[in-house]
Amino acid sequence: MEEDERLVQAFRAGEEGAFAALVIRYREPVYRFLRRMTGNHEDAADLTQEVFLRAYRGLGRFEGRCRVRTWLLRIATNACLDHRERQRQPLPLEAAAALSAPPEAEPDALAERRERWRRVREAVQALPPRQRAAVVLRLYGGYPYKEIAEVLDCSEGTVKAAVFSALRKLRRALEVVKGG
Amino acid sequence: MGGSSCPAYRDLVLEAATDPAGPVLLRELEAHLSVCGACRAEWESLRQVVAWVREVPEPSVPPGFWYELQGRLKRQAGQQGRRARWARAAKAAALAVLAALAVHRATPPPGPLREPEVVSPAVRALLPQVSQLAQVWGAGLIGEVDR
Repeated sequence: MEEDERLVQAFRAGEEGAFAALVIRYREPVYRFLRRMTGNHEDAADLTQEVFLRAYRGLGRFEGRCRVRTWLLRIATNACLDHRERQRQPLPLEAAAALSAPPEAEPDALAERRERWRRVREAVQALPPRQRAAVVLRLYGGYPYKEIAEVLDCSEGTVKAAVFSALRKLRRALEVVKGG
Repeated sequence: MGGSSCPAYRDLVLEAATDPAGPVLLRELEAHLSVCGACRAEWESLRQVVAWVREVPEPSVPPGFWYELQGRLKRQAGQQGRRARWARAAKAAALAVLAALAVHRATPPPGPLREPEVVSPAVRALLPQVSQLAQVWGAGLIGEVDR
């Protein structure tokens, strides 16, 4: 936290290297969140760049009411919502089949597990964006509900209701993999 | 997750099932689950879904991506920085012009021309001739007068 404050102050004083240090510090959590949100590297990479450029423009006005990480994740969530309209073209069928089909020599257990992962990814992608963000932040990021509420700019109770509702939907979508 | 669990324990069940350290059972919750079948079923169901979701491995970052990202950000942030500096300079220049205009407007305008309070008799005697000469010149007849 103190390191973040020091870097923000240094950036405001005109030290460009301070921004680069903030990027190094937070590029991984931002990218990983966006990767889970979008489901592919290309979109996650573009959005990660967009998030840090938005942060560069806004850092001078950052008031320090929340952590830098929380602020960046909020920017990332908003960037994701903006991005919804310009989704990428789906992969050509052959390429998609090559990616999802397990290699022939793969043992059954591993193939089953891969299939389960694919279904979970699809089910998570099918969630409404804010529910998806809450689930990704909690289950993959391990963030406290309080911080997720700050990221999504809502109450902690709303976040818990969103996660609860999302887990119900996932349960219905994944029922078939039970015991798989 | 049938929606029949006790409202007072719902948050606790959710927090415990989604805890980053894995499903944890607080003593208070454990005691309740041992006597409440609905909450016990909810707990088991949540725990299972969370396990499935968490089982999906962390996506790998393509090699060289961080280096590429840092380079792209440096270039684009540099461009934005230059644009911002130009915008600041233009804003300062515009403010300076506005300030000059404000000073100019604040200065009272000069009053109407008045005759000097003290005019010597010699000058006063010349004035009608000067006025007549100006009228002739204004009518384009100055050459004829000279001849």
